[in-house]
Amino acid sequence: MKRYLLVISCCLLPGLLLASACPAGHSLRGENSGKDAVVGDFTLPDLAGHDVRLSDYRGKVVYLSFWATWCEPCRLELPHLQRLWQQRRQQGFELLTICVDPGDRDNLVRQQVRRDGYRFPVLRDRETELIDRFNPTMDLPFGLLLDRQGRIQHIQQGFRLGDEENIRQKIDSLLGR
Amino acid sequence: MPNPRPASRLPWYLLLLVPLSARAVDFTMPLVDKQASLEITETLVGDYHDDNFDQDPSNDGYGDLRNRLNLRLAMERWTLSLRLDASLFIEAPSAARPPYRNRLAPEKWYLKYRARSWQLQAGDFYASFGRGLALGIRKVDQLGEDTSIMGIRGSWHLESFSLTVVSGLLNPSNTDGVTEKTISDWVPRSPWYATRSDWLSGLRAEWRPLPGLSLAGHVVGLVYDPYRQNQHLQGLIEMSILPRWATIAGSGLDWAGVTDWLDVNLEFNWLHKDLHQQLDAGNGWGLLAGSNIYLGNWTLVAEAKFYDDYELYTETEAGDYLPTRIDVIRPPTLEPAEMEIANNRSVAGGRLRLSWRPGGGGTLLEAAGAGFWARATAVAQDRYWIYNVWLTAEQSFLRSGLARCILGLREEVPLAGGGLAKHLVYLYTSASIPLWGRHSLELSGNNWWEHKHNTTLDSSTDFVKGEWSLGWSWSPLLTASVLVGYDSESSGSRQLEIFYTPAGGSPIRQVFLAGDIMLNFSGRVILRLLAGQLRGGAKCINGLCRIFPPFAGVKLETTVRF
Repeated sequence: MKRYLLVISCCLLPGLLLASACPAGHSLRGENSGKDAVVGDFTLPDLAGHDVRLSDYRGKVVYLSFWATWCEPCRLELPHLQRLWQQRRQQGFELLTICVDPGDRDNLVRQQVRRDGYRFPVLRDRETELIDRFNPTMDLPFGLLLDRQGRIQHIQQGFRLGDEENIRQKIDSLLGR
Repeated sequence: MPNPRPASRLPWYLLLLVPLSARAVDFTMPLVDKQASLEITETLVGDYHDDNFDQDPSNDGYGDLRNRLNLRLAMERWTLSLRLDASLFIEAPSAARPPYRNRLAPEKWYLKYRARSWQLQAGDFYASFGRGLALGIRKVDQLGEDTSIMGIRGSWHLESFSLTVVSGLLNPSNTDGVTEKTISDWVPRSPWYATRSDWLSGLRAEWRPLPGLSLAGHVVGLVYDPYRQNQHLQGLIEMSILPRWATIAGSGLDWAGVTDWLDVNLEFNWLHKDLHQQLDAGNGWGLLAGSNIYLGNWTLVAEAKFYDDYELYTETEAGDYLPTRIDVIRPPTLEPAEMEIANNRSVAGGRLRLSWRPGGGGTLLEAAGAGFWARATAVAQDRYWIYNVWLTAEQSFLRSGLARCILGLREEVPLAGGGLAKHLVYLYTSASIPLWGRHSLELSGNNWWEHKHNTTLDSSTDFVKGEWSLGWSWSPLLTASVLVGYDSESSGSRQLEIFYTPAGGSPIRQVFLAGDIMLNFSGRVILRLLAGQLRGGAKCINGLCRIFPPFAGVKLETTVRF
């Protein structure tokens, strides 16, 4: 029993210490976001190999969407995201999608992008570094909605029909619509 | 280590506090007085493992709690990342064995410095060169059982030129590549270097002279250390047939947008491995070539693959040393990824996938096929002709609904007289149906009809296996699914029963039933309860795809992300 308690305590301590180090008044939802963390910058190549930086999109509302070619809910979600992106791009909304397929599936990724008519930027996380950072359980699809300051305001795990309406409301709220 | 006694409920309550304590903030770093930010992702999984009827009682009837605390601290150009793992087993069958050992350890960490044109990282990292044929170390599993390289990684970018150098220990967490379990660094009274894994170094240079065009060269060196791993794992002394060191050198061309309607790519790799105590040192090579063609609503992928003994690990006829292997190279499969059929060793063939979206609308029709010669084991006569053809039809409906159906045929024919011929007909289907408001239904399933014929013994067996799920969702709060799976192949039974009891043996489960409920609190806190039996593999349940290990019991998972 003592061993269990020791293990548990060691496991709990970092979290509790971190929590106690955080300022008071912080909201789980991040609505009171003065102290929420700004997502650190990253650089990933797009399908043509050009490097894309997240910091290039600062000042815009950004939705990061992780997907894979074998993920059927991702194929269900991406057309909805594209529609939102096309409708709200002029108001400062940007969509960055990140495909996590391994490099040997590059041709299939490119085919899906052209076949399904994706117009939004598609970045490649071949090494799974970025998805491991935000989504260690590797769930797909997975989305992060960032406000104009780059703070996470919504996390989308998976996609079911009806979720697109929830995402739209969150985006509109950040755009001030 | 003695068997642990049953634990009280207190630790469970305490662990549940961890997610509630997780936060992410910007703050001023003490001492240096600089702005810093902290990202936290916290995952806690509690499992009770029931009898999974796999004939192995040592992995039944126990509970475990696994906690992963991911911390990432960034300050100016510096980033420090730490993953703290905690495992707690309750009534584990063998607490002394590494998979069931209670532990708390910083499983992964790295420190990174990023300048304008270069960056340097020390600690754990993933690495992939080109298409992954020479080096492809990626996160492979969903929860703490992935592998990585632990060492140093440096990269330098200057306009169109980039250079990447990696060096370190492969698989520092000693992941078992087959069962995807951590086999642990722990060996009593052994120095750390006696249980560590292979040493890997690599260099890749890439030049982008034109938009979309990449020319690259790379070299990877690997020093194996299979001896100690196998020795303490299963008492297998297989080092006499394993390579001790290997070199992979290759180059590649990737040109996206040669014209508006054409992409091409080509990668060639040469592999040399020193086979301990064998006269013939092994040489292999691998070539992957492909192109994409886009003509209006038609798209075509064509890929060719030629691998001659392009594998780092020389397989024995019994294939029994495999538990310690981690693939450094990532040989592509020519067949659908979801089928998880490997054709990676010595292969010559290709695949085509032709897609047509009439009028650019909601209908999609696809025809695809792969055909190749393959050698399954090291035995030269063990050669097969394999082909796999499949048709896909997809239709969107009711504004946001989508239905999909794939029907395929796969044949595996031995070329040298005797052997095992396989004939497979498979069906994959799914439908996402919008209901009223934010309610929706999701139906998905697959079925394999398989016929195996041993041409040497002239005996045949038929198998059926599949998995079907029906899910209901009330976005974004609640989703619930029921899954039914069946598999008569693992038991060897001709008939599909819930339990099949072979003569003189114990029952083997053939039908699997599971339920899954997921509660989503504002996207930041997610609770998931899964109960029943689940066949392993990549699955999309409740609109969420993940690689699931085989499981029987009850699983409660909480995830908090910031």
